[in-house]
Amino acid sequence: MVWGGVLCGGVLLPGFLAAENLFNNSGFELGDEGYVAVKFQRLETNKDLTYEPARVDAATAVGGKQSLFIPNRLAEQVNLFTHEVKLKRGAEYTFSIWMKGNVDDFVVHVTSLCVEADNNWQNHGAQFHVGKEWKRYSYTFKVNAGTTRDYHTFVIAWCKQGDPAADLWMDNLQLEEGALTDYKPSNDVEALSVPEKKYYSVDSLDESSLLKTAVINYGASEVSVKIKAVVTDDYTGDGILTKPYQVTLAPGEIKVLSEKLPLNRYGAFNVQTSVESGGNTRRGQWSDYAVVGRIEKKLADLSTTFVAGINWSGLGLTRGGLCVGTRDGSLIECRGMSREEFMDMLSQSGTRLLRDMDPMSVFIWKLLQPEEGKFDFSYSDKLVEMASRHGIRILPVLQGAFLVKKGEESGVGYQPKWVLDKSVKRTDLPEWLRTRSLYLAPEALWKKHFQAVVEHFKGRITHYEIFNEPNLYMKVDDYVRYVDQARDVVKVSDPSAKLVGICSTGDLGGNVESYLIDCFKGGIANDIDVVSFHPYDAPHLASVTAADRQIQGVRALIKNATSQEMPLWNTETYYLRGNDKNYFQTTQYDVYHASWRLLTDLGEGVQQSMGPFGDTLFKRNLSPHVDMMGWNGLVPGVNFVAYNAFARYFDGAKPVTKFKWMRDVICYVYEKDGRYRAAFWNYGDSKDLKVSLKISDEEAFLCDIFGNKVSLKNQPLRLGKSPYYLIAGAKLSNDAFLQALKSAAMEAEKPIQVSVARLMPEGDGWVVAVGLSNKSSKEVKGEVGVQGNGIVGQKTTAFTAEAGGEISVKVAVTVRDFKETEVEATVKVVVDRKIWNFPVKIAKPGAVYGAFTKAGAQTPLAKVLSGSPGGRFSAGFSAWYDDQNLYLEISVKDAVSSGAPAERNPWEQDCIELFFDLDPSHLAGAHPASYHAGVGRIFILPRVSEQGIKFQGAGVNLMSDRGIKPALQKQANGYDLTLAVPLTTLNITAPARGKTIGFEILADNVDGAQKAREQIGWSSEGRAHEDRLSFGFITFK
Amino acid sequence: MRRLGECKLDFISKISLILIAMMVGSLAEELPIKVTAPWAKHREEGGMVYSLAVTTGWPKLHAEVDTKTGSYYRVTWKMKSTVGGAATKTPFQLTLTPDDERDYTYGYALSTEWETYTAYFYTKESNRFKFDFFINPETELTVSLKGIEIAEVSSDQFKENTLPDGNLENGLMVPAAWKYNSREGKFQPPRIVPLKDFISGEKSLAVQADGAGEIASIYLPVELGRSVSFKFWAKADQECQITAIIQGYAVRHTGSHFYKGKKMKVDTEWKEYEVTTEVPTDTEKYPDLLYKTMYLCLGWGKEAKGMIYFDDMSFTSK
Repeated sequence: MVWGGVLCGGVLLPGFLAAENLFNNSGFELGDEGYVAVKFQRLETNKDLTYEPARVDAATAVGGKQSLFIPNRLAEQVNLFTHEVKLKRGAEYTFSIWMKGNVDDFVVHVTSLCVEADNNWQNHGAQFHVGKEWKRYSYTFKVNAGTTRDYHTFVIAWCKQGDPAADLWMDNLQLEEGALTDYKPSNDVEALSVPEKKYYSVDSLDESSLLKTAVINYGASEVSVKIKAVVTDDYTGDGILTKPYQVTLAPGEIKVLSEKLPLNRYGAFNVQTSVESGGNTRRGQWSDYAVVGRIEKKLADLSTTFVAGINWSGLGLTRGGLCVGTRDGSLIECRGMSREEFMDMLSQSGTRLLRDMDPMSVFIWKLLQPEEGKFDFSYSDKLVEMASRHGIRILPVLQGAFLVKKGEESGVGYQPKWVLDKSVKRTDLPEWLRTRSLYLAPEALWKKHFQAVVEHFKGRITHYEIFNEPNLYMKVDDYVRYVDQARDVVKVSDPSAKLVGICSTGDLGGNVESYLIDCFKGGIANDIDVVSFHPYDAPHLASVTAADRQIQGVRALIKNATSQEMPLWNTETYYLRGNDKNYFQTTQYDVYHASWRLLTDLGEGVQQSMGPFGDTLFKRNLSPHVDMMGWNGLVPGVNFVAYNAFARYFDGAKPVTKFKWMRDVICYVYEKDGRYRAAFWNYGDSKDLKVSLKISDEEAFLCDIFGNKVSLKNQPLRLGKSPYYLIAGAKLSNDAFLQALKSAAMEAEKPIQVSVARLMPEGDGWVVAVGLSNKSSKEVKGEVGVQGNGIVGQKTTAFTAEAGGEISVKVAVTVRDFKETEVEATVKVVVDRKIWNFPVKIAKPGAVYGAFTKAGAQTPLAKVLSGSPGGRFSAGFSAWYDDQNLYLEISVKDAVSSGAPAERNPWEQDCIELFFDLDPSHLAGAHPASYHAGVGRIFILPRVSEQGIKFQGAGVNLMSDRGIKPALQKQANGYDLTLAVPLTTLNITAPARGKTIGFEILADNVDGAQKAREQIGWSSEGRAHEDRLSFGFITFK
Repeated sequence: MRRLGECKLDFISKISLILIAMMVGSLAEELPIKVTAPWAKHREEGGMVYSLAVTTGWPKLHAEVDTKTGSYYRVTWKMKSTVGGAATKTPFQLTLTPDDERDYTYGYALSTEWETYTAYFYTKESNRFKFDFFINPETELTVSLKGIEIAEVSSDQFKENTLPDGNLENGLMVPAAWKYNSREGKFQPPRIVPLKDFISGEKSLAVQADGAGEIASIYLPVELGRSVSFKFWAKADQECQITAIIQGYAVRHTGSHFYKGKKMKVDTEWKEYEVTTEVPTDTEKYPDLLYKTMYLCLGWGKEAKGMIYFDDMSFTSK
């Protein structure tokens, strides 16, 4: 979806000098739009957290009538951010600014900021000593030629800790290519349209506001220009309002024009103003606003009422501003508004639960108990009190075990040194945490600490989460002991308080389920009231592990372990879209992702959900192309509006049932206040799905993800990723509502979809296996053909796919030439005399081994897997078969044994890993690379006699049942293995000739009792454990 | 004369042969060719090759066989020429002379690659046929034939596609089952072209639509009273209209003839088309039916422009 069009600083027009000023509204004659002052406050010096914003000051200016004034009576760190500018790679620019202060000499830092694709920063800056008189300051810099990004923002920062309190005025900012020149604005005529508010919380869509357009003529003569203010919906890209003006201005004149701004649609909007003069049109500074439905502020009972929650630092704690912050800082960030104003705005997003966590919590030990025996609840009180007034519950996360970065043991991190000094240090952490140590606070100390917190917040905080993601770094026994202590505390200090634990995460390779199981075995069920998890490995229904399946699995696991239905909370899922190589991009998601998670959690019976990081509710209004949320003001974005709509329609709802209308289309039904309502969406990739419901506008209300009405007259409804919300009206009984949903009619322009195509050997030739799914509600018959670069389909293959079904079809092909690792191809599906073309990429098939019978072998048995020949570690294998078995002969050169297992995984020792895929042409399902029931692994540990072989995966169940054992022959410099695998366990009935299985073999080598290893493999290039399509093949010749 | 079906085999093999013959007609046998100069023959690996350097006259390659009355037969041979797609429409001819009946002639285009050619015929009342292969002496070239075989065809086989090389994958240059039939302007034969955007295969049949034109297939066997279906896929460089006809105009046209045609719109996307009909039984009304063969036509009008492509072509009987 369009995001407000192109939002860059300006467009170079023919006839303009190359050195134009890239800053909009650089003299602040049109107000302060395009700039935001971020202040970093301390309760010690500003107990009311009073925020004095930047404002225009008509009393003093260098040019024009006004300048920008940033008061700073309280000596707070200040960062003034500009809107983004687009710079040329390798070009030289000069930044200049007029500044003065109210004190004689204080340092002001100016720097450009650009975030590269690898998340490193490129910045160019300077420091200036500013005094009481207006003076121009400048510096010249060169943009890195090898930069990966072109958008930069600038920050003007002052007031490090210890610096004097200094107000600052600034005027006439300029950024120009080349050397410094006299100041000039970006254009002779500038215009800027700004709504009255940054967001509107409305009772109905009949309200309106004003859009004010200010225009100024900087030139020396009268001008007549056309101005246009265009309001665009960020999500749909629709134009909401276009207002043209014809304006005549005398030299230096400013005019302000007003236009009614209808608030007739929920959403986030962008306002772009342009000036047309002399046949040229130039866009200037933009502004933004949002419209949401009013939310009543009311504290929820978290044990009974599902609400929309988020993760964030509730009080905006950070280490301080750019250029002026400190490593051990804990300051309250105010981005263009006070924390009070922020909390008021946040309440209107529908957020009623805030998990106080990242980037810094008020409940960190360092703030709560900076010295032994001394507690300080000023920050946490402030947060809890402020949040409560705005109807938001706080979920604190209390920590008694700390991951401390090397070099921060002095207490510069979140943990005070006096606690670290008393803690037990552990260094036996997973490899990825090698730069940290784990400090376990003494349990008695932790208990006292927690007790003080609970007693202090009794009646004000109802739930406490104990530790964050301990499964990544803590042994189960240790964690259970801390939780046990916490239980003792609440029993005595606040029996009504609830403990939330285990907080098992799927992030960073963590296994949600196994830690839960182990904790329950450790007796944790007696200590916690709520089970929490972080479903990073199953964020939504289309994930490899579908979100609903994971939730059902976890709930079943809890029931099995505890014989009761304990409430389940999703307390964090930042990466709602899935993984991205770029960390920042991983935190971004499309607007429907957050709604999906809330709707799925609610629909599956999760008691509370607070997945996203709260900053993502807001838009990067100043720098949309710069990968940093914090360098912008706080303006609600589309996610904010979607959250608001969810809260209005689903807060307090209960799950009723769900329908899977077809693969990738879900419909959840809920009940709220006795009436049914539903949410339905398409979470797959098909773009041609539609649904028709036998419900009219008189019977129910249908709306989009933001709450905007959608008429039921416009059916069939196109099913996209953005959910629809359907609310039953008074005329429609719950049963009738349910019946109408059950009988929904689905349509698809292309009822058959192709997921993936795989080239594989079969018999003496090749086939392309194609995964098909039938999206319709009827059986479909047709034919499939394949054509591609270097691949020629010999003939088509007929198929029959049942309604909603998935199948794999094999198409015989001739491979002419396959030079690349991947080729473009087209799968052609013929149904009812029509051909649908599906472009696919076909990967070069993995290694192929032709296994012969001993008698039929045309060449001596071939060794086909090796490391460096003659090297200290190498391996080879060969295979042959008869009517009964497939025989594998494996030879490994490895003179040094890995020794006893010592709690190592098989692949962390000398090991032969064998992978079998009994049906390599199976491509049905949303994630064909995932293991299916016919895939399994065998680990052979040649150095370990008792545990010599392990089986994993349903695909090799029969092998383990039949007691398949390798015969081991030790050699002077390694070992040989032979293995007979019955053909029946490979699902092969004789004769085997012409059959194909997927196969991979890996050899692991570890010298001695360590874990680090080397590995050589045949086909998969290290991906075999997660991608069955990377296996090679054994064909039976 | 050599009688088909007679060979010295043991008892079991004979039974097998008979059973096979009952199911699929008979096994193909070499046509007993009589070579008369200027035709020449020489032996190559795989069999005898018959060649003619064309100059003047119509020297013939001759064969005679005994046949069963009321039966269908298929003659196949491989042929190539030093000049392909020659100037005349159908330079190569096969004349069939049934005993006690007038002869009739099939025409074929030439290719510079070895292509497989087919001729179907129905014996009616005749139990002996003569075959004469010859070529119009319009162009100086050398034509060669090999693998000339004849086989009886059971009507059961009509359920399968009787149109040879329906997917065009075996043809190299010339679609051996199709020839140019009529056209305004310059003669351009139908060609096999490399094309990989069809459902399968890498070749399709292509005609140049430059003025009205038509291509026709070889004669294909039909049974009276049976439903037949002519199916094909087509696309064109530009949208145009074509006509597909199941044509009952016999090789010796004797009176009214039956045909079933259908106009179709072809566009730039491959689509499947079909013409179906029941072959009439009224031979008095349609005496051409007595030859029990029909051919297929694909035609286009003068407004059609660019190339028209065909693939996956079939003619089957129910």
